[in-house]
Amino acid sequence: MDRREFLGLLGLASGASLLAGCDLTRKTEKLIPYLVPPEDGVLPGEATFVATSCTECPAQCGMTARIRDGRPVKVDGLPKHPINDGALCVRGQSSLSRLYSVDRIRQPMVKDAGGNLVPATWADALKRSADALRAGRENVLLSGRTTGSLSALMSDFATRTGVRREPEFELFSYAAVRAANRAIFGADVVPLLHPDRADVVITVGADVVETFGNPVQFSTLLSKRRGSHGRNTWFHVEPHASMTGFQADHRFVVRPGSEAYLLAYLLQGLSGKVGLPGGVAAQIASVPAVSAQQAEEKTGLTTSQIDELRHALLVAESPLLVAGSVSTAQESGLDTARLAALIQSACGMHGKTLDFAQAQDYSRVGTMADVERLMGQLDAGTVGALILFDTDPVAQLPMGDKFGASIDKAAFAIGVSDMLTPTMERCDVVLPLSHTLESWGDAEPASGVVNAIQPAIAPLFDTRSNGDVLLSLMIELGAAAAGTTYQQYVYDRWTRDLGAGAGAAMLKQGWGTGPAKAAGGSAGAAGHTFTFAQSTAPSGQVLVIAPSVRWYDGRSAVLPLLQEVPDPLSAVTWDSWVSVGMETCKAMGIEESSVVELRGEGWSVPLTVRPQPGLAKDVFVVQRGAANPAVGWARSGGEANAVVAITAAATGRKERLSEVSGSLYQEGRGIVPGTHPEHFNGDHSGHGEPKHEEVSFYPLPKYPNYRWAMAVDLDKCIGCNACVAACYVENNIPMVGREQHLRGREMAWIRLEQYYEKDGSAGHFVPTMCQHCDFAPCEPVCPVYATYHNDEGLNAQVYNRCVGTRYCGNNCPYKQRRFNYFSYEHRPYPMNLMTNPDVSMRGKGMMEKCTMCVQRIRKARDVAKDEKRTIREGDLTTACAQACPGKAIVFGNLLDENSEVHKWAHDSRSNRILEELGTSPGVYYLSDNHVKGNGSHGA
Amino acid sequence: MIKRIVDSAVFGYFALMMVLILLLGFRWHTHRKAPVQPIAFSHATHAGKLNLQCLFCHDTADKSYYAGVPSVQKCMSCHQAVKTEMPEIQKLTKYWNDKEPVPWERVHRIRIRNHVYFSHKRHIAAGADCEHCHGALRAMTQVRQVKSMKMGFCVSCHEANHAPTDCLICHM
Amino acid sequence: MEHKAVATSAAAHPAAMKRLAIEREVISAMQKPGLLYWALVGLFATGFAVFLLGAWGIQIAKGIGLGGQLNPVGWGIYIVNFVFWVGIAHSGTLISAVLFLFRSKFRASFNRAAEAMTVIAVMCAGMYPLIHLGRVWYAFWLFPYPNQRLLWTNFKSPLEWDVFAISTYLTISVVFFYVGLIPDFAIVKRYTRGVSRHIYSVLSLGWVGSKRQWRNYNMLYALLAGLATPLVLSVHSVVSWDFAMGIVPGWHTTIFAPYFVAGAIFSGCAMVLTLCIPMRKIQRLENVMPIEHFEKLAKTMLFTSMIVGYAYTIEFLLAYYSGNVYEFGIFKDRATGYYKFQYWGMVFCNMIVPLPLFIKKLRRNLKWLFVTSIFVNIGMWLERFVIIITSLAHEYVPYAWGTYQPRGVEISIMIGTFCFFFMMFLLFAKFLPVVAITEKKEEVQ
Repeated sequence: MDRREFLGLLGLASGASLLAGCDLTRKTEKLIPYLVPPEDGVLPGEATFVATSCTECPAQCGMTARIRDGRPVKVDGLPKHPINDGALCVRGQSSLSRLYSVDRIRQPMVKDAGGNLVPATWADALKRSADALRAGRENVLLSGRTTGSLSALMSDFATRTGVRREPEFELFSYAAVRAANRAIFGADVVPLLHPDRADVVITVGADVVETFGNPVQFSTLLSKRRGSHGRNTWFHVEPHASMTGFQADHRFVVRPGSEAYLLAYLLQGLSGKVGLPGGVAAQIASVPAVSAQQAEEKTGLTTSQIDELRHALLVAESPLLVAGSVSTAQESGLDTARLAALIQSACGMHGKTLDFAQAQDYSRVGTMADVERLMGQLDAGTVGALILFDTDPVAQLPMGDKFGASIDKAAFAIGVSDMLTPTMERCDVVLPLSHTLESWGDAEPASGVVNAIQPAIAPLFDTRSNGDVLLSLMIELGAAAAGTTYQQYVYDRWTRDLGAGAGAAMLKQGWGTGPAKAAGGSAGAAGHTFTFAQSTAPSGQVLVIAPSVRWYDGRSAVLPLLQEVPDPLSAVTWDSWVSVGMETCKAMGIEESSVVELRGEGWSVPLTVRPQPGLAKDVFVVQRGAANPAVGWARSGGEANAVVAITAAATGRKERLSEVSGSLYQEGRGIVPGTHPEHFNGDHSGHGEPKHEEVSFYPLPKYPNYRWAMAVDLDKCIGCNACVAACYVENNIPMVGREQHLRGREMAWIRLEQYYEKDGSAGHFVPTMCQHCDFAPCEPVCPVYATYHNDEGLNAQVYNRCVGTRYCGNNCPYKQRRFNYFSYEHRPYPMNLMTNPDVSMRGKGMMEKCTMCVQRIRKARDVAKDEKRTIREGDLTTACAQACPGKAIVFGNLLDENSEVHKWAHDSRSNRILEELGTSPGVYYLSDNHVKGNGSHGA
Repeated sequence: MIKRIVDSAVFGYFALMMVLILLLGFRWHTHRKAPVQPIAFSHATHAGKLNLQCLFCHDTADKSYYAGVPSVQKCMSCHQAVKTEMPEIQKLTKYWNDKEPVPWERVHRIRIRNHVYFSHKRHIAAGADCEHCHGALRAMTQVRQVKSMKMGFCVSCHEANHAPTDCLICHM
Repeated sequence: MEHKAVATSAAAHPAAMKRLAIEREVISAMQKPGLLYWALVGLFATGFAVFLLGAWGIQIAKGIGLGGQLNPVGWGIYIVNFVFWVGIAHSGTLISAVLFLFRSKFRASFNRAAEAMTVIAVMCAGMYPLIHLGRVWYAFWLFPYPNQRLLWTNFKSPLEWDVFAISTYLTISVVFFYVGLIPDFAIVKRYTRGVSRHIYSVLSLGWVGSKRQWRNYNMLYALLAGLATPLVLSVHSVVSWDFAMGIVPGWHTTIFAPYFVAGAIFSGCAMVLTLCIPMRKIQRLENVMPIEHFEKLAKTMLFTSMIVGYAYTIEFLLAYYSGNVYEFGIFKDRATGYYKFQYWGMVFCNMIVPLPLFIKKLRRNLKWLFVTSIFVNIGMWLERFVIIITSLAHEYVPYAWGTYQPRGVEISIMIGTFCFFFMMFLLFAKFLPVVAITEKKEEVQ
């Protein structure tokens, strides 16, 4: 019996079976036994793990899916994976909600006479497609970025069926960066960054912990140089305000479009350096001279700032400088990228802090120029059948509608996607894609690393994996032998590339290492004339279209979970908004929730204002996916333009934003560990030992074996919200939607509180959850003991004892308790399959909150008891800690002297929030190294 | 005089009835009807007469927190040969041939929806006797729930055996 | 009703005549109610059914979320109303028990009405803790009773104290109310016939007014008064501890108990005035309810108003002196923040409006008193709103700040309780002697 069949059986067997845990069985009174027990001894109610790959964004981290009763209930980073080392970002964590999304296309669809898509059979859909492809005119295949076997199969498809394979479409094509690398390093790739090897990190625009390159990897590596063992210096240069910027030690805000000047100036500083590759020296010579004072007035930075930057770069032993994202996606983008590349090679970063050997291969990804060319052909009507394979240009392109119009010009459009995106709506046939967790395949996060992709569940709907869709098309066209499966194709390829028997190893370990591509050769040094001096940077009011940490280029905005999880900077959840700096707000006389009209040439869009500290005057920021103004794109770099001149006008209208933050500032309360409330006087340099215990009238609770506790290192926390998403999935936290968010009833058990200094100079991100206090104020006030303190230090909440007085919620100084104002327990199919059976669904009128993943503690205890021992360090961790890309959260037993959490709790930076209340929390915070002084700064 | 006697007799009678009804109401749940199973499987025969061990069929009871219902395959492993002439067994064979699992009716159920966690494994590991909660299955031809399976039932036993009574042991 | 028999029996003795007059005045207030009366009762009854029972039903079915409560502000105007009604309930015990012990004469005019008001108000108050529960169908878990779960209630919780405080208060005030009524029932009985005569005679528990009965009766009444008096302090202290025991800045203060008690008496007196002034007029009780007594009540109100005013000020100063950013943050927000109108409204109604009562003329002007009492009622409601809502809205963690606005269902239920209150009081005004006849008679020399 092959795996899929078995999984299918398992799925069916448990579909309505023994489990008390999952709400599938609540209604049924039947006990459905297995027909045949699964042979590899899977016990009902015991979790199994499937190693696979995340495909939510092109970074393609290694991912492991926890299977309960035949359905994946949680995804996490693959431990020890060369790229993401067990961590997974907020998008990856949410990718499970794509599998179970109610919006998925459930069967093939075809356009009927009325021109709207109607369900059809595979046979029908394939036949129509095949006919269209046979029709004679030139057929074109446009796909999103593909790697590994899929890419190979696509080439086969192209060659065998005679379909022309267009350069792949990615909005974040890194076109400029790659062009520069091609010229300077002779490698058309996005190198992997190594902040861990760098003593000075300079990022220009590149949002390295959000979307640029592989953010998870960057974060994990960065955390190696953060926290108690020293810290490298990180300068972030950007025109707008990004989460990445606030994570850096020094955030330098430059005028939009002036990055090139800064880099050119820095480059000149290096020109003295000995041992430059010849080509590079020549290149440097060709850079137009930029005087110090010129650099200043163009960038708007102060002399000291520029000198600091220059000096840091000069003295650094192994610096890391990278430019990208918004800085390269503009008129002078290519220059910026080239200058960055020149600096990189001048400082000899390649091979040290830039890894070209283990790089992301974007060679097949095209530029905006390619897109324009394709549009040209489409409009010319030369294209027969256009296959849009798992890509959504209409939604993502700045001029998406124009592209859509071009699609209609094609004789026939075949869409392949998992959701009915704007692009798909324009197709004549839509072939439904299976989710990665339902598919076979592989992915290449970096050259030399191959992730296995294997099914964790039988397809929920009548869908096929991306490879199988291609194959079935080929079979239909007679280009492949009937009965060939993608699974087989992938297997063969593994055996070929990774050696015989590699397949089994891959499936077990989840990844394999193949032959790495040759590292970038010497400078190709193709001549390039720098034009940044001539090009006019947008002046006046400027709109920056920034990548979104939640939605990447907008593709993930369809996931409800990623709407429910707030944006780390602005705390906005379900709405579209434009971030506006404080000065601008004053100048324009606008404030929170007033609506402004953004106008460019040929377009205008009304958006609600969210004030954003630290944002320069006259700079407006919109995130990809939140809104998509038709701003056109930069020629030079060939990346979608992210910086454009606009005119913004207040409309006088007001619209409430669904945002979950009560205040952007600390209001003098010293919530951020390491800062102190205004009224605080005396030394509080933070000691592990809580001081109040000496003066407490009450004896500390007795903990015989365990005191479960948590410690968060704010120096390592990058505020990415991965923990929040992970918590949502692990603990069945309901997604309550916009309406309830506006009412202030979000249900998150862990949240990222963001506090800015009033002058916007710094932003602090503090992940807070139930603090599991020794003297929890919520406990004594409950009239029915629904919440109490157990002898393992947990502040327990007994759901079915709760009568819902909500006094505990009122009396929690951290405001971490969440009340079920309505009944959220019933989820629509297939969302209900996402339910984690180990965690009970809370009913209407119950209080809930962080349990420190008590279900995992229970599991660990179960195992420990079987082995006749106590729970040991490393037996379990919480969902948030497991997800954290910065490895900023540790969980464990505080009584265990050698436990990590004990060490952290007694660190010199250790603090606890609102300690002066004498609650004696069980969550310790290691203050951020570069947070100094007093909360009143932030007041 | 006679009147008084009659009165007290009538009174006493009704009083007695009241008491009886109250008592009955008290132990009502212990008399829940046994559901009708698709196949008239008799524990009395298998566990009683043949003296099969519980874990022989409910083989995950000591490994997982679900005791598990034997797979149809398991039933067939014997009934391929044994008692094939019996109509009930023929029902079973039919299920097997149709590749249909047997839709058993659930007998034991913890009433409150899903805020209660119970692990068979732990209880068996602690040496609990199946029949303590499930009643004298060896004597039942038709299984019905004998014990209340309410919280008091659990807690009193936990207290008696010095098992943990922390709420989180069951409720989470 | 026919008075002849009685009239002839109580022959030309002047004092007896006076007493008879009083008796008749009160009884005549109980004459067959008119159509208007029934219309009003009906109106309030339907209001009660629709606005309270209806809305509550929907809320139970859908969930508390229909209200405006949110994450920081878990308690909305349900609890505001709870405290408000408990406050109203206070004057009853004060006027009847405390003033009885002090032998202050003016009590006799109001105590019956006040006690009735108390009983009804406690009923209203008692509803709210139930209404605001997330899972009201498990409300019985709040009472400690042996159960198969082997669970107990948490006596550390102020809410648990409330359960006892309120139920005790209800019991005592009902008993006190009833015991006071017994002799009057006996009188009323003489004026009625038919079914109602039967009912009243049962209610009068065979009272004949013998010397022995009177001795025991007075003893009992004094004892009950003695028992009830501490409740005046205890009940509302406990209610105040619902908040004072919390860690919430703006709640967590020692002055809450006296502050709340004073406030309760204040609002109680106001409500008595609001009810008695119209009643006196409508049911023509000018003689049994003389102006002097209203004036005395006004004085009590003025006095408590000043206590409350003092509390408002001192609270601010305490917060200021503490230098505690959380504590002072709350008060700054109250005066200047989102709820400033409620706050200043409260100050105006409770501190400013009563001040003119220093002038004797105004104290004796019923119209003026009536208007004042209305303002005070509103002011005291606002006070509870300010205390409960504002404190929760701006607590320790700025990220978790939020603003609360009451929504449809809450307002509807609030209206519903007022309907209930007036319905009950109307019934009382017609079917029970609204003034303690026997006591009034005692006054006559």
